[in-house]
Amino acid sequence: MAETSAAETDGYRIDREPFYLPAGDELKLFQAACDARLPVMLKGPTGCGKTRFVEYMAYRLARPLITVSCHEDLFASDLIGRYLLKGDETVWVDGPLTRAVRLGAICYLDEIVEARKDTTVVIHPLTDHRRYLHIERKGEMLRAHPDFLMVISYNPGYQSVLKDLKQSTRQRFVSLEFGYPDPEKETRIVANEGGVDLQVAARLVSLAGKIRRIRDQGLMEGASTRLLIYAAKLVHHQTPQREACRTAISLPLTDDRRLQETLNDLIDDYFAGDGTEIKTA
Amino acid sequence: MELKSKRRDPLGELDIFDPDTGSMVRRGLGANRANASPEALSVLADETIWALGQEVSFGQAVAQGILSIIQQSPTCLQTYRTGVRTAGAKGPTLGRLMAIHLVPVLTADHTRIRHLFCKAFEVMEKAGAYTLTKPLEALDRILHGGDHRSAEIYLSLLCTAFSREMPYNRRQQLAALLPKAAFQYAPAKRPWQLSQLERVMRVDDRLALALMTGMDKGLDLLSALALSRFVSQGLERCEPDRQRAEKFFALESRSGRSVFDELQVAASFCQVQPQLNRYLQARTGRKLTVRLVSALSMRGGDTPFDSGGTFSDRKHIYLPNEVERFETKTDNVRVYKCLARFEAGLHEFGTFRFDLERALELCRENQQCFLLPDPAQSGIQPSVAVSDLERFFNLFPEPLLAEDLFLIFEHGRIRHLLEQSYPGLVSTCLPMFQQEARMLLSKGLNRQALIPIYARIACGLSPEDSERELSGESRLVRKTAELFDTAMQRRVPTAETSGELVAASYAVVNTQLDPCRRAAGIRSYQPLQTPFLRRIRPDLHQISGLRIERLARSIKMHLADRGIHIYASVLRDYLESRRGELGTRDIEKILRDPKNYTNKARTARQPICRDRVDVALQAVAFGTDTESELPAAQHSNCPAFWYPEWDCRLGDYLSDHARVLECAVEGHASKFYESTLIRYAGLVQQIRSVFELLKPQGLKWYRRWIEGDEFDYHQLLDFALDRRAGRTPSERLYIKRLKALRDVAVLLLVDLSRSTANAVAGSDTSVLNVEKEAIVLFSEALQVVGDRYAIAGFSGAGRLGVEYFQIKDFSDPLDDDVRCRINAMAPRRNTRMGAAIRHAASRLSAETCRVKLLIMLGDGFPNDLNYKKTYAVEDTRRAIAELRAQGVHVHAITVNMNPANASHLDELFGDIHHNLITDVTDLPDRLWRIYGALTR
Ligand SMILES: Nc1ncnc2c1ncn2[C@@H]1O[C@H](COP(=O)(O)OP(=O)(O)OP(=O)(O)O)[C@@H](O)[C@H]1O
Ligand SMILES: [Mg+2]
Repeated sequence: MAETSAAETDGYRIDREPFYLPAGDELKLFQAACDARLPVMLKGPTGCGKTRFVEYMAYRLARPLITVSCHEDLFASDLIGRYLLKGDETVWVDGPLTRAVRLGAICYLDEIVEARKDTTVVIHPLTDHRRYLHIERKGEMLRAHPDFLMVISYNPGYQSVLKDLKQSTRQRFVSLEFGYPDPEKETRIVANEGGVDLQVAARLVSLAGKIRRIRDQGLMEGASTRLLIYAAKLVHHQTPQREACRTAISLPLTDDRRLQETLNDLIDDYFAGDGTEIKTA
Repeated sequence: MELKSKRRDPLGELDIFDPDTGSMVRRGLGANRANASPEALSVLADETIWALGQEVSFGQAVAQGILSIIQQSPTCLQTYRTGVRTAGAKGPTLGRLMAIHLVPVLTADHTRIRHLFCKAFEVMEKAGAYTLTKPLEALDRILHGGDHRSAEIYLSLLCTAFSREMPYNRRQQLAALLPKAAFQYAPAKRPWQLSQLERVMRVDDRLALALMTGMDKGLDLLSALALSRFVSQGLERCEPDRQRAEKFFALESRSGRSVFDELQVAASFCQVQPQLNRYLQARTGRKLTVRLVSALSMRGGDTPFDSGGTFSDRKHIYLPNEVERFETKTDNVRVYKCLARFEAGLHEFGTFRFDLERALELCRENQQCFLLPDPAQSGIQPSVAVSDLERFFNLFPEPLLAEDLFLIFEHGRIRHLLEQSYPGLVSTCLPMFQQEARMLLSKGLNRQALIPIYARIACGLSPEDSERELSGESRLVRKTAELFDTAMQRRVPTAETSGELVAASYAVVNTQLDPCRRAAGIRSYQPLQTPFLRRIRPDLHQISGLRIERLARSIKMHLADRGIHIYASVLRDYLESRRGELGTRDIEKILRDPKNYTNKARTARQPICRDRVDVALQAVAFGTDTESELPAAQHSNCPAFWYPEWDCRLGDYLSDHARVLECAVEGHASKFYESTLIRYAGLVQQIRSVFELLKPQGLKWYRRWIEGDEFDYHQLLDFALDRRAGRTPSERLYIKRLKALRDVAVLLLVDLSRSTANAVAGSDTSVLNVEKEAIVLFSEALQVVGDRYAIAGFSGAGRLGVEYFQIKDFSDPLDDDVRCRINAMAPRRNTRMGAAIRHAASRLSAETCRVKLLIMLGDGFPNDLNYKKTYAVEDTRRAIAELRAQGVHVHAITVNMNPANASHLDELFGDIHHNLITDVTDLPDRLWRIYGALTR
């Protein structure tokens, strides 16, 4: 197999250990999948640590990480690469997927359901026992580097039946399920990432727990760990706690005024300042 | 002899004239006969006979009327007679009305009312006798309630209204609406509300009608001054433009609404209800909603809390109808919020988990406690309707004092725990309670000696604050507060801690209160008055959970018989979270935690053996389903389909177990469909434009393509420029057109069970009606986007009678037939979900679309004869799994269900495959959106 030069992988390497707090045995499972060269699907709601986990694993395995965010207009060529005109010549430029396949990197396709159906098909031969990439334009069959690993993320909460993953795609991956970390861990994550003390973090997490209970009342999803971290960061930067929560949690979650009022009431339970005097009638 | 023959026998004459009426009168007179003067009796007979001569019902009314005033003065009788004669001369109908309604007027004995009544009667009679009936009935009711002030104003309102010139229709409308209004308005506010109505009526009857509409919409919340200001503003608008003023009064114009919002300071329960419910669900994660105090008193029985008050039972927090305590609306709304927030603490921190056994153990450990008798010694099995808390209070010589002390310590404990978990809550809400407490303190203390203790402990008022008002008793307050503070420092105080505190302080408080009570000359104990009348009502909590209580006690007893001693409260908690089903596994889990053992168990040190638990549980008889299968005779002509059913106890299918009958739907012509479209005109517009976008245009354009059918000129330009500049140009120069298809078939399956007939809270429409409106909008949306769709309903009774109603088949166009069938959808019986789903599946399987979707719309869990709980849930889950296996997407929407059951819905449908819409009135706006999101 071709040795990859250090220069090529520069910029894809993660040099510093990202902070990641395991929720269960996902590290072991991922490691096992990786050893067995099986592609991995990370399932879970937004902002619960999927991306962070991949970064952390890339660091632990000392592999470059190439991330592609998928969207409706993502074409196969955007992943694979294409010819460009240089002066009067045409030059081939690898797309991110091809690069990962060559380098032996972890290729992370974020929100795979958003990609066009015909695009997802190009990953099929890469994600079964064949492990090669067919580059049609060049007529090349590129064998994957032994270290190459495909990881995709998928949020089952977005309920469109039209955008469900095809079974033939799903069944090429082993899946790890992600949820919001349990309160004790989530508290440590929020404190650590957001730069607040454990007490504030614990209140934020408890607040999120309450909000997640009313997901059904019109919220698409509950408050994510990410939003909690945002709120904590605002607090860290001298924003009053209540304002921070409103800005980072209640406004982003919904546009519905009534729901916002409920969220704000919940926020007030934890973070309201001193009560103002009330005039008796 | 002579004299005697001259003496009349009026009742005899009446008997001869009409024996029926005669005997009625005799019955009516009853014991009063002796007291009635001969003159009165003659009048009774003469007038009745005269009226009977005109018409029987008139005569009887007169007889009744005179009977009810026969005790009154002769002048009164005379007035009655003249009144009835005058009216009767114009016909028996008028006469009868007068005969009936003059009675309460005369009974009221109020000159002005009598005077106004005569005037109103005359005016209305002129306006048309039809205007008399309803308004006078309302008058009777007002007078019956003793509200003379309102009666007066109401009468002059009637005079004003019916002396105006107006078209027949409107007069008829007024004759129906005025009495309704008069009766609906709260007695406390009615006088000035009616007088404002009259004020407007004097200007214009149309405006008065509009004002009544406005009152229904919330103007009734305004205070006297505010309403009068509102009316003044409205009348000013009338001068230039009457119609504008009408809109203003009916709260249809923006200015009307904004003036109203400004003036309104009272917060009403309806306004805050949805908000509070959502909050409570988030906060407690339990089946807990708010409810009006009056909902409770309506069910009869005791009504000590008519004047408001806040307390809870198992599922509800009871709140007052209206709050007008503060000057601004925001503050009044805040009262509601604070009450709900504090009250939620009782549920969160286990007030009602109070365990008598545990509390007594605690008391015994604490040497200073009041010596309590051991209830177990008495050997009497307490009734399940009596809660542990009440039993605890009853152990004291003065239970009411014990109850009040508990209230103090328990509210204090909750405050203490809230301070730790929700500092924000306490800092926003507590000042309000403190302020109320200060007010109570300043009102004087003779009768309410416990208030300072409550203020100090429950409201956390500072010593300076709570002691300022008292001199002698300050030592008592300080000592009790010290006791409390020390107890709170212990690990986590529970409800039993409060109980222990009651026992520890009872004797001291009681002796201190005695002289104070004697000084005030009060013999019996006067219950404590708390801010906003907050109470703890263990009795209500208990009766709303008798089933669980019974089970818990019976399990506890059977376990105890086998030497296993655990607290009843632990069993109760488990039973509650398991919906009343408890298995050996649960008990084992309970047994693993030593904290669950009573002291008895600790001393006995019995080893636990599983068999004994099993035996105990078997001994507890669980109610079995004994309903019989009903034959479904009326459906003999419907095509029948047989389906298997999953029996989770067997772990296997019962083949051909359920019979689904496809019932023909008799269409119902009405304007329902059209009027729904009109009602939701704005929404329909929005739906059209949203779904227009979802609609595939046959071909979809993709820009910046690498190959394609046409050049993308923008890109071409860039290309040329880039080349000239020596940059590498993009090769995305084309536009490609791709065929886009929405290949979707969707079946909407609607649960028509009986419960869909339930009224939607706060309105007179039913759940199903709102669902039907949603179906109308849904059809409109699908019509625009062009997906294939079908609509069906289901219900039935028993496994042989599952009904399936085809409202619209996939191939049916949305025509009048379909519309009429939507109209005809009506609540039926039960919900055997599995069979209905399987039948819907067979319908869907005939479709060839790539994406198939079943949307289920319902208001509850599956439930039918011999189809309950776990069995029903498991079969439904199976049926859904079968569908998913066939590649059909299943999505459920549940309306009108308590959000706390949402987790059970997760079990049933899978957590991302259902929506819960607590407030069904949101459904019309949500259904199409959910569909849009599902197929976006
Ligand atoms: N277990 C964890 N350990 C450390 N940090 C975590 C963990 N879980 C979540 N986080 C924090 O949450 C934030 C959001 O996580 P991340 O960006 O990985 O979410 P995601 O699942 O990829 O969301 P999306 O689906 O929206 O992309 C991260 O910034 C990270 O700080
Ligand atoms: Mg991510």
